Amino acid sequence: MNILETKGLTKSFGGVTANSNLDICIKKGSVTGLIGPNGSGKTTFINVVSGVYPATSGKVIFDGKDITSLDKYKIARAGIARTFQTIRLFERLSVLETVLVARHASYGASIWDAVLSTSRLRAANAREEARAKELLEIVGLGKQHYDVLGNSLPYGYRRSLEIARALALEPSLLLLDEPAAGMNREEFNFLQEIIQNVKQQGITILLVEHTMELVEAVVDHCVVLNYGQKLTEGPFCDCESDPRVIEAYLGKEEAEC
Amino acid sequence: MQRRKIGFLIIALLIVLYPLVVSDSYKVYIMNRSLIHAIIAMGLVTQVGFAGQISLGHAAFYGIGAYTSSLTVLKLGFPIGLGFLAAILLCVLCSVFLSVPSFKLSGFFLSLTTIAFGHIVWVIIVNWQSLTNGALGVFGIPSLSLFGTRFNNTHYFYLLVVTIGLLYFFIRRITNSFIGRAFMAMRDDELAAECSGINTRYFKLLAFGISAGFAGLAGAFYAHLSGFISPESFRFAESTKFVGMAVTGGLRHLLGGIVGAPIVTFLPEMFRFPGWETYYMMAATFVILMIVVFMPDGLAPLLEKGFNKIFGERSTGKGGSSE
Amino acid sequence: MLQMVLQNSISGMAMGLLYGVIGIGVCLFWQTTGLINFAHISSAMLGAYFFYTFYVMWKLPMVISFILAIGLVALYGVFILRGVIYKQIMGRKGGRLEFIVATMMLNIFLLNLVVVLWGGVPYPFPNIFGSPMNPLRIGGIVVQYHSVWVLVFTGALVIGLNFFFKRTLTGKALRATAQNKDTASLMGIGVEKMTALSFALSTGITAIAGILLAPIYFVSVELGGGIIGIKGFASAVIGGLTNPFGALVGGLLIGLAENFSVFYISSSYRDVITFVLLVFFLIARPQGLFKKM
Repeated sequence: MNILETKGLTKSFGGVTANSNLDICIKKGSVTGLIGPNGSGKTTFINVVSGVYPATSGKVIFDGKDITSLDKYKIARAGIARTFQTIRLFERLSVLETVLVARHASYGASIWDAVLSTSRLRAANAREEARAKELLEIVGLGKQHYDVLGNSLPYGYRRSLEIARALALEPSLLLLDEPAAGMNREEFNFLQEIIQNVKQQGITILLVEHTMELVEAVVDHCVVLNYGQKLTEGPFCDCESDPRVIEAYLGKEEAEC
Repeated sequence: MQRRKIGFLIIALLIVLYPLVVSDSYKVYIMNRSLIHAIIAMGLVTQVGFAGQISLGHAAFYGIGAYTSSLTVLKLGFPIGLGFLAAILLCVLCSVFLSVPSFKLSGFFLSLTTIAFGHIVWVIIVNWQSLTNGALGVFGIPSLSLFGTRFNNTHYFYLLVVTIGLLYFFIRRITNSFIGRAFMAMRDDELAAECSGINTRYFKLLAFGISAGFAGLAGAFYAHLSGFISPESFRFAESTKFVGMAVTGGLRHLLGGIVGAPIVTFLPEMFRFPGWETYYMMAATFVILMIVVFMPDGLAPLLEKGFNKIFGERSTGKGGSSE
Repeated sequence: MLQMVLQNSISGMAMGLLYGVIGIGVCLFWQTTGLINFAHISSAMLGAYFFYTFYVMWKLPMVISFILAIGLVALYGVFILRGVIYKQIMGRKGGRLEFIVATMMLNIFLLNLVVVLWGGVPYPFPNIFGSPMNPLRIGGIVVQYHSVWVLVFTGALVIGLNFFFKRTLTGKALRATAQNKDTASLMGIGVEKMTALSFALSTGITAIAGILLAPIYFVSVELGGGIIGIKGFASAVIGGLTNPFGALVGGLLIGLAENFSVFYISSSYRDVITFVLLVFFLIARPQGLFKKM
């Protein structure tokens, strides 16, 4: 069963078409890799699915519901969480607070609960903090990190924190936009562990990544984009050896030289 | 812990004694004015400092509050309490107009629309003569009274201190809760907040609504305290003054407004040495400029640190000392 | 009827061009810093006061007074606005909000400084741009000599700036810096110097507008505290913020709208039209009328 389907999804900026007529299906429970050379429209795809950019035409169907024109926060609450290519944390929030932001909808309390500090709010605070700590545990952040500012963490931990914040939405689909970029070996290995761990909890993952090692290690299915169009899809080993894919990548390298 | 209690007690005592020690009723009146401004500055701390939505048009809400309360009381015969309520409600309603542009704009562009809003409201106040009596203003606004006693400046002082205490309690509870966290997330990174399930429109409405309500309440207080209002008190310059107060006190500190308003109000007085009659305003504005440029966190964190040094640290968590 | 329309157009255009010149300053500032200076209009006030001091009080020749006044304001732009406030705030990675508040406070301080140095009483400006009592009459239409001077100065400014940006190396470097600081720096352009230059240009050009506004507003704090500054921002926003000449069109639009609204509606709503235009453009067309230069 597919958790996400896009039908003829197109996104253009002025005259430039970043995503053209994409039909992409993502199977529930899978880890799908979205690969392709620079500028092939991978990040745009994530941005359109998560509602950051409105689609020019086409549809995004999530869990059988059309979410194409929903607000970002509604998409997030419906169960699509994401991370960003360049890490976006909250400048002045601590690690624990950062994760709690994404727990907002689960509080089930109103502004009056906050003003009157009702027992409902206190119960929610305790419950959500416990859950946030669990999630931080999963991504490898411990007690000693709770109260430091998110941005003061080392690079790898900041990525982890972003993933924890995304997981705090209790998503059924997690969009990871180049999570391994700029990581050292140790951080890389740990990221791989996190992804496996998340997958085991039954969360579907869409992974945009340039590091083929990571893609090869975690991905069940691969979709290759080139110039905003779907070039091919299938198991990673098939894609990797597909002459069109090689040409797309090599063509890019030639252009770079 | 015990030492902190003594510290709070001393501050409370100083506040209670202030109007009794300062026998000059005019000084107490000026202090009351500054406390009224503190209410607005507190609202701005919430809206600008915590929620990140700038407003340079708060004099408009101040004016709407002042006119609503005095006109409902004078023309419709409302009891003053109801006038206050009407002032707050109308301001919260009007804040919706101002927050709608914030759905689309931020930073400079939002600040320009808030300036525009402030100016348009001002022009309406000046020109809607049948209602507001135009540039001449509204006279004879009745003062608050309780059990037949008309409030004098000292009564107003205590009432304002209690009101500010309650409002402080209100915004402290909000900013320390999950709602305050949503405000701050929206302020720091709107996109990331939305992708984390935060409905930023709702929180912008809420932030604008809270601070507009505060400004409306302040306006009502001002009208009944001074007995006379005219459009002059609600110009653009006032809006910048309110923001200046919030920033001087500390835009991201809960006590910022409460600290900033009296300082900005009384700073010129401190420079009124003999022979400095021409320079005192310039000197005061220079000091405020220097605070804004070189001390971006404002004075409240400094005072808090000083308090903690003398009376000991609080054992848990963060947050300011309360008045 | 036609005569009234023409009359209103001409008076509106003169005022509008001045708003536009202020707007050019706003654009030049925005291009390199990505910020709006809320003390922008105080440059106009300072320019008018300096010129008045040199020309009327010290009786220096007009051209020298003019150059000295503009030069002094540009120096203020480079050393105080950039050297102290901009550097201090950007140095600690302060936000836009801090810059807004700091420049607002700077504006209030400058207003008080001017009151201390020159007194709060407005000075009448000498009739160097022609006496308003004795205007040019073309057909039945009254054209103030002042309006002609505004046109001359604005024209010279446009030609000068265009030459500077398109033909000189420094001007091209400034444009490159405005587009992308990192790339410009890689190409060997001194970004620091270019930022300083844009501060000087922004404040200096606004000072010219101030001197030209003085015959209308007198040499008074009204120049730096009123809403003329907001009209400059509005011109720039309508013009698109990244195109200095777009600001002139924005200014013209405001000037004309203002004059016709006074004529057809009421003078009490004169300033409201600016704000309505501003809000309309901010919401409906935030990118303004013109593309990047």
